[in-house]
This record gives sequence, structure tokens and C-alpha cells, in this order.
Amino acid sequence: MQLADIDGDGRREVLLDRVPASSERQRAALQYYEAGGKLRWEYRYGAQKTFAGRTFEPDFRLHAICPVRISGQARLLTVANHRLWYPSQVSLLDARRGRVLEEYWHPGAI
Amino acid sequence: MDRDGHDDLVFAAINNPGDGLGHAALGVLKLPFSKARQTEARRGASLPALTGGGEWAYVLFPLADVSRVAGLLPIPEELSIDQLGRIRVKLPLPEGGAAVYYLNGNLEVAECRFSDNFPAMHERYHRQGLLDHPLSARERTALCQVAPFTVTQAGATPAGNRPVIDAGGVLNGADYTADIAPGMMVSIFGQNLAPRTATARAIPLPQELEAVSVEVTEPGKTAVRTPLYFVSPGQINIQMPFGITASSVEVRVRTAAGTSDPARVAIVPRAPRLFTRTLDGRGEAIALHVNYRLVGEGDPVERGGYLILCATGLGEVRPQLIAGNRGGDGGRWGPLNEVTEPVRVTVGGNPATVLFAGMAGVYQINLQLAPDVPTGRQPVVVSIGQRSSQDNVWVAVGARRDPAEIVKAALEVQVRGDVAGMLALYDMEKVSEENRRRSREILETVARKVAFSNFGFTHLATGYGDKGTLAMVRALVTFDVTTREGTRTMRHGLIARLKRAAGGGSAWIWPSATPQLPAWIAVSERWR
Repeated sequence: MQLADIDGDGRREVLLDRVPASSERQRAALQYYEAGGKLRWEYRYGAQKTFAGRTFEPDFRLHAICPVRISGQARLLTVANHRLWYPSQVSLLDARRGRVLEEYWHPGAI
Repeated sequence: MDRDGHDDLVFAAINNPGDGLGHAALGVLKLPFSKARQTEARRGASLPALTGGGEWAYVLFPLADVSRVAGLLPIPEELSIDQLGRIRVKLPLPEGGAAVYYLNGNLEVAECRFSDNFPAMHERYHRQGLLDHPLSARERTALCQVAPFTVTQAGATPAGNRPVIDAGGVLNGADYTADIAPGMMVSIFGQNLAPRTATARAIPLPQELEAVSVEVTEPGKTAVRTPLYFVSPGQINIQMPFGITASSVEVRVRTAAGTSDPARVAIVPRAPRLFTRTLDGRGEAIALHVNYRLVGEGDPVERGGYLILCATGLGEVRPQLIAGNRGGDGGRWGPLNEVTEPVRVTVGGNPATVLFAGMAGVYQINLQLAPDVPTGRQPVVVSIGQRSSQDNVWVAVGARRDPAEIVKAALEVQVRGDVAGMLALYDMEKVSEENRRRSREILETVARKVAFSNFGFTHLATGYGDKGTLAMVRALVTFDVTTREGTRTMRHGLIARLKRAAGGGSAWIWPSATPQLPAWIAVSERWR
């Protein structure tokens, strides 16, 4: 969990990494709660990926999260590694809406 | 990292996508990723493409022999950037040792250090027979070099330009509505779907073009890659796999720059649609005569005539077919993959006789029009089960042409000595190259040495035929033949057979009384 003024409104928001009890049914997600406690968005990170002919299930865990500003816009960088194996995912999110702006995949853990 | 005033993302990682220990890696991503300047591979950088692709810079660290022997994964332990902009990476060595690298902004090694136990450890492994060589100065130097490379192919989609499927952007490829069935041609619309336009050039259709692939996933099942007709930045055409039983699937586009979010698409068993000449699903149907010539208002299908319709969305076929493959079993006369449910077609509101409906790249429907179909633009509707094709699609219907006129026209072409016209007819009849060459020689010889004139054609009778014969035409043919010996009038009875199966007819004239001429001149005429 992180507390930070992500969107620059002077109030601290809550970023919560929600890991499901059973990753078979649901992907883990990064949740963004407004200062008042309302869930504004949820980003389910990870995805099924294939590297070198091997397919990896979408069972990922958040490894790092970093608020950044790009051209004055609030963005979030997230890094997620596969829970068991190799792939890792870097995502650039729109901090206000949780929308994925860009995504980078790496075949080994970051 | 590139001193452009904007933050970059520097990451340390392990690059081990398969068996083996892999190598430690260091990469730099521009923020946003799509602004990345694509670096070129440096000379000698021949490592295989193992990175995610599109990094601004990417290097691999060597794996020390002691780590390889000990089976130690080279997972980076520390990554930091000091005030001078130097990147410090600490990599593990066995027995608590470490290698520390300092790299400059170009990811070149400025300095490297090994823990004090490293030389002794290498030496001990050597003495124990675990290593076949002592630690040399050369090896030590090599361990202080990194291997830079990029996987970005020239012109590939810039990293970070992750493909995006438009909302509601997965539609059938005939009239671009949301009705989609197994085996159907489907269009995907969006952004960054491919670096450039590429079209499939062979059957079976490829599952990857320009490093672009499309996956379809049924709930609870493994993703299936679909055959691709073509890819472009804004549109991809695929064939939906057969055998889908779920009521919806997820569609994803994968490129070198990433994977799209899934688009959920409803699937129905059948969604018949006709392709049209304007490719928007409206107007004149793409319909062919039996000789595969396009039907149009200038060349309509006759009442009672035969027609081929190009369709999609007719659902499963029997024998079953893997999407993207040609029909049959690979042999020339393989089994036809027929639609499993009866197909009905009306033209001008009159039911047509459906002779065949099955998969032949696209769905093909062969039919015979009713003899009393009105002429002109007539609506054509394909139905299967309770589903019908889209409205506002028509086909041009014309009056039936007298078979005798066809034979007469064919003979006129011959008698005029129209070599080009004859060869064009041969083309339509798909005459073999060898026969075409021989025919050309005969025709050109005749054209040089003989002149024909005063063609006359007296029609005697037309009999409409059996299974293999459309019509038999009896006629008297007359024409003048001029050679060096003078001019003679030829007069012959003719029986011409118009073949139904081949979609054409053949007529022969036997000028046996004229030894200067070749033994025969064969003509073929397409059936119109």
C-alpha cells in the first residue's frame, strides 16, 4: 500500500495492491482510492504471455510502483513480475483514470 | 539518460526466457515508451532477440564461469545511479561474492570490480575439476564487457505503441456488423495494430505477419492464434477459428510493442453475409459466372443460369476444417467441406436451387436461378437456419441467350483468324501452357497463309441436354478460304456441344477437303 498525492490535488490518495486468494480465478490488481475512500479505478496487471515458445499464465505480482509526471501529466509506472517464472511487465498508467497508456514486456524478471 | 530533460526508466533484470541460467541485463526505456529513439545494433552484436524490444538501450552482462558451475542465477542485487549519472549494478557471485559494474550513460562499462574471493574461488573450482581452465587476464577482461544489442527490427512498431482495439472494433468482414460466427472473415479495427501493411501470400494462411498475431480465447480454454488475411496499422482481417462453442470470445492483438487489451466478442453459430463489390456489404454482390467471370450489369447471369456467390458466416463445415487451410484433404480432388446446415438462396424473391455451399477459402455457394426470375437488379438473400444475409444486396439478371448465338460467335472469331481472340478463349478455358503454345503456332500459321471471309451460319436446331451437356447446336457453316491456290467456299454441317460442367462449349470444324489447312481448328467458347 502507498499513500501519495498521485494526481497533484494536494490530498493523498491510496494505492493498494490487491492480491486475490486464488490467482486462478482473478488477476491481481492495483487499486486507486481517492482521499475520501472512494475507489476510483482498478488496474489488473499481468497477462498471459509467450516467450521462446513457452506460454505463461497471467499470475503476476506487483514489484514496484512509481508516480511520475510526463509533460505535466500524472502517470504511474508499475513493474510486475510473474509469480513463479520469468516474464515481467512494465506499465505506464494514466494516474487519473487507471488507463494503460503503454506497456513493455521483458522475458526475465525485473 | 539521454539528457533530454525527461526522466527515463532504467531497469536491471535477468534475461532467462528458457532453459539455462541466463544473463543479467540492464535496459533503458524512454518515458513514454513510444517516444523511444530506436537504436541500431552495434557491430558484432549478434545475440538473439530476447529482449522485450524497443528499449532505448539494452545490454547483457557476461556470466562468470564460477556462477555457471555453481548454478547461480545472476539476478541483479542492486541498481543505483549516482550524482554523476553513473549506473551501478551489483551482480551475485557464488559463496557471497559479487561483481560490481559501473556504466556510463551509453551503457558502456567504465569500471568493474570483483569481490576478493573471486580469483581464489575460480582457482579452487579449477583444481577441483569443476572448471577446465585457470582464470586468465583475458577472461577477466572479458567479464568486464557487456554485450549491447537491440531487438528492434528496422521499421518495426516503436516500443510502447501497444496495439489498441477500438471499442466495438471487432466486426464481420462483409458488412461490418457485430454478427460473427466460427470460420467467418472478421475485421479488427484499432490503432498500432501493425507496423505496416502486409498481406498473406499463401494458403494455409499465416498466423503471423510483420510480427503481428491475433489470439482468440474461449472462456476456460487456451488462446488460439488465428489465420491472418492481412494486417495494417488500422485494420487486421482474420478468419475466426472453427469449433468455437462459447457464446463469446476474447480477441487480442499481439505486436512487437505489446499486447492489446482483450476485446470481448459475441459469437453466434451462423451469421450469413454476402460480400459486395463495394466491399461495404451493400449493393452489388460479388457473384461469378461458372467460368469465374464477374457477374455485372454488363454481363448478367441469365434466368435459369448458374451463379457462384461469395459469402461468409455460414458456420461449421463437414468434413471439419482448420481455419486458414484450403478445403479438402490437400489432394486435387479432395472432399468438399460443405456447410453442415441447409443453405437457402432467393434471387428476386424466387428460390434458387443450391447445388453446393461450402468452404473454399471463403464460403462459396453454387446455385441455379429459377427460370422465371425477373431481369434487372434482383435482391439476393442467403439464409441458413433462422439467420439471413444482409438486405440491399443485388445481382444482375439478364434474359437467356440462345446457345446458337454462342456457337456462331465462337466460329466467327475463328474464321476471322483472330489469333488474339482465340487465345483469350483458351485462357478462359484454362488450356495448358503446352497446348496453348501449340495452338498459337497453328493459329499464327493459318493466319499468315490463309484468309477467311464471308462467314455464314445457318442454325438448324438446338437440343437442351443431359447432365453433362447444356445444349447441342446443329448448324450449317459456310465461309470462303483464300490460299495461294485461290479462293474456295467451305460448307459444313456442324454439331456443337455446349458443356455444362466446364461452363463452356466446344465446336469443331472439319475442313478435310482442304489439304493446305491444318487438320482441324478447335475453338472453344465460354458459356454466357
